[in-house]
Amino acid sequence: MESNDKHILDKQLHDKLYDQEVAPPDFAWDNIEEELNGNNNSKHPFIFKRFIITTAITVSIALLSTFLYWNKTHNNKSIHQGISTNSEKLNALANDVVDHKKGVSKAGNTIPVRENAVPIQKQDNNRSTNQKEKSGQSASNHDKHLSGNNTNQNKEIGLPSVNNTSSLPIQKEASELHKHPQISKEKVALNAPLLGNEKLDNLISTSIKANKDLVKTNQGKVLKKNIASQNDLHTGFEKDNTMASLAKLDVNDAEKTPKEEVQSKKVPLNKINSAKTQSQNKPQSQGFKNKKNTKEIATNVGTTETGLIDKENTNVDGVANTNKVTTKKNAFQKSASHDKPHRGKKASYNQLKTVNSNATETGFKVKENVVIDGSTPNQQGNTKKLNSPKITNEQTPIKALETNQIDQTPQMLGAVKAGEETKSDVPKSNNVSDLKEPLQAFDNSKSDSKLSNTTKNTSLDSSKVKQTDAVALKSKDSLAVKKSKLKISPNGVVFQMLYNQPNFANLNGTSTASNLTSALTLNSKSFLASLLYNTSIHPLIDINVGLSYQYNTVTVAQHLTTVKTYNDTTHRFFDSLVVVGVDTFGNPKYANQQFNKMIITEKSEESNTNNAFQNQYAYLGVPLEVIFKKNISHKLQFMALVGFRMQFLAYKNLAEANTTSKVTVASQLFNYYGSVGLGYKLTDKFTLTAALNMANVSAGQVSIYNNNSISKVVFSPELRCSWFIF
Amino acid sequence: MITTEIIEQCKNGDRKGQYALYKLLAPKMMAVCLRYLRYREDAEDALQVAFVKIFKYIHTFNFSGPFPAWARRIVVGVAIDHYHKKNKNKFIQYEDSNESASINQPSDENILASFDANELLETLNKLPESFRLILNLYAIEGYAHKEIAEMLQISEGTSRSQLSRARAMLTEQCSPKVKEIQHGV
Repeated sequence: MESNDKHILDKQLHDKLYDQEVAPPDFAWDNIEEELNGNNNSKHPFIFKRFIITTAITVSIALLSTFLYWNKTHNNKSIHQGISTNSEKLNALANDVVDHKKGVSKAGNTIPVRENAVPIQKQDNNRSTNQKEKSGQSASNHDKHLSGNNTNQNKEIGLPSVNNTSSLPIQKEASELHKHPQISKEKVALNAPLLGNEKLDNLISTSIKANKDLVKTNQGKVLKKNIASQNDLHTGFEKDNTMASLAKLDVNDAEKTPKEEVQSKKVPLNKINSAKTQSQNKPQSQGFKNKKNTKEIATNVGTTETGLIDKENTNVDGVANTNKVTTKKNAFQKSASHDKPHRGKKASYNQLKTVNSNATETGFKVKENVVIDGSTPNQQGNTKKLNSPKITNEQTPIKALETNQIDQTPQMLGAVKAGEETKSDVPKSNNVSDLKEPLQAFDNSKSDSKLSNTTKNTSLDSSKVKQTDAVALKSKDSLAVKKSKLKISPNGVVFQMLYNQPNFANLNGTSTASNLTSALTLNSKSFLASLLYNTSIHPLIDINVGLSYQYNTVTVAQHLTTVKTYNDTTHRFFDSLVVVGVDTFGNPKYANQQFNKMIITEKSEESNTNNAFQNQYAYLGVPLEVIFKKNISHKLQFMALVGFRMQFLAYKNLAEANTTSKVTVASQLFNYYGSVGLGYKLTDKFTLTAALNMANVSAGQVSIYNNNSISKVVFSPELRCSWFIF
Repeated sequence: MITTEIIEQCKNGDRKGQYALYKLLAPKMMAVCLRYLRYREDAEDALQVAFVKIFKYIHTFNFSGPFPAWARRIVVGVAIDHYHKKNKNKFIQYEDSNESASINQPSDENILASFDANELLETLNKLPESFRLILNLYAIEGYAHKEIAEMLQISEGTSRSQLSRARAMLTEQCSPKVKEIQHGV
């Protein structure tokens, strides 16, 4: 009886449930099809993938070559048009300062430095040589010093002497610049950003200036037609600019240790600064004193330049340079960033996109040249008191730093010029009112400049994102959830360690800057560690090759109501195969509009042992990124993004008094950018996908440099939040 | 209707044939997955994996039997694998402390007659995992205890005892509604 009942029960179950039908989800077939495509590809994976990769790399190289060629040729054609506006020079600085294309990466670095720049001393040497040849004894002490033929052997180290004669030889050289066709295009490209500065203006003959095709507006916006690249100007300096010439410098001071040298430099500079500040800056800038530092803001071009020079000299004492700490879409963060940033489906991509700006040690020593070239008659009275710095031949770390600093001269020149540009819009009658706005902006930024504040703000944003997160990371193990339309890169705290190794080859202009960056990204959903090597082949182009490992605990939202969490441990090595970015940031050639402001403040002479350099920028640029990515599903993705980016940068250089070996730099950076582009998944049915990448990066950084060591270690905790819609 | 042509297309990797086969089989296979896996998300995952497996091994199908049955066995196997993953490869045996109660449970031949498929499925999902699995495999799919023992990595005796308890519990679960219906009538 019982067994009979059981059979009846079983039969009833069978009858009612065996043929039951339930509608499968709509996306099930898509996922199955996608998986089947993956299986099909695996039948001939190697050749097919290799073909795709080869094709992609070839195309990318072709694009880059085309761009470089076009850029070079265009610049060469416009050599006579070249140097034009202060804004352009500022742009050069801007490129140096913000050389980041990829979201997170941009955040870290603060002080403008470029390693791939051709040493400014080359110009100096060339100039000095020409001066000797042409003007005989008219060369300044600094020039003589640099040329190694200095007979005065001034033992005081400080700012280079400034006199009227300094500019005249340069102008003579300007005409000679055109006589040196032998300069390689490559070097010209490398030198491009360095050229925007006053020196160049001086170098350009009157006739050349007449040919400039420049349009300036009265509002401080400088729109340029046919901007001659700064590269063009370097042509003339190419031949004589070698390390050999640098080696000739300061034979007399070779006995000094680098540290002693730095210290000796420091005191005179401070004195000079104080004297100068009293004589010129103070009366004019009383209303704009910095509250904390009681620093005065130079209101006219001459004073501003002087202040900057002083600052630079402070840096020479040991102030370090910029660090660019970046972070990328990564995951496509980006992650990173969408981050990468930013790239397709992988959040880690955005996160780990790290762009290392060319590291730099800065020395603003080269600024001496700036002073010489750009000094106004008013400044000269003060600058004449200054003694040119001594440079030793020793290849100690400090020496190395100094040499790198020399390379940075163009940047500083650009900075000075930028300051001048800001002022140029201002009536030359030292009207301070025009400076108020930048100053106020700076003050506002300054109030937010603390890292803690930045962190808090970012964290709030990040939490918001997490609440609404619908991360779509495809899992190898699970076929579920592959159709999420909205993918938001994970947010989290990024700890980055930047190992910045100065590349001495850069001094010869034969190599490019390189950085090695490790990043650790932590948040509630993922752990991402990356090691990224960055090299710059062009001021506007970076190539990153990295390793990354990611562990994801992915939360996937399906149908807006069903939330599923599973662990996805993925080994994502070489996640970002190649990231090539063409960043027109701050470059008037490509940027539609730009806003540049610079404020330089100095401490009063009472605290003349400490100088501070504060700066802020606002840029609007047009970034272009070409991204090759291999995601978890072993699909190579190609994506070209063109968009916009706005960046606000404020940094403060805190040079510790009487400390030549350590420099602390605090910086903050706000970066807002977005891009719209087409993504192309090479191995997935050749479909084109529109991508919208929006990111908000706010980063603070405290960098400590040790000038007694060549290598710099920068610890830059960042909080980032970014959105990537793909 | 699953035709030989569709199967041949699938063997050739034709996407249209695969889609046609999917359209024909997916609803039933989805129901199978739902019976073995408690959560819909898991069932969807299992369905996708099962179909990928079907298309991958369809070339081994030699028309010796009905294709739906062949496909169903794959789906069941995938669902059980999924179950094992979720349960860390352990078959959780439900120990009924009141075994005699189930034995003394009054039987009713029409105890399930008043339940539609969805209600019955809902009731099944209330059973312990092991009971639900064995009921599905034995009563609905028609597997023998030996096969069930192999699939679930248990002994045949365990399979039998679990099945007995599962039936009793299902009857117990269904009896309140049956009584309500009877009283209502």
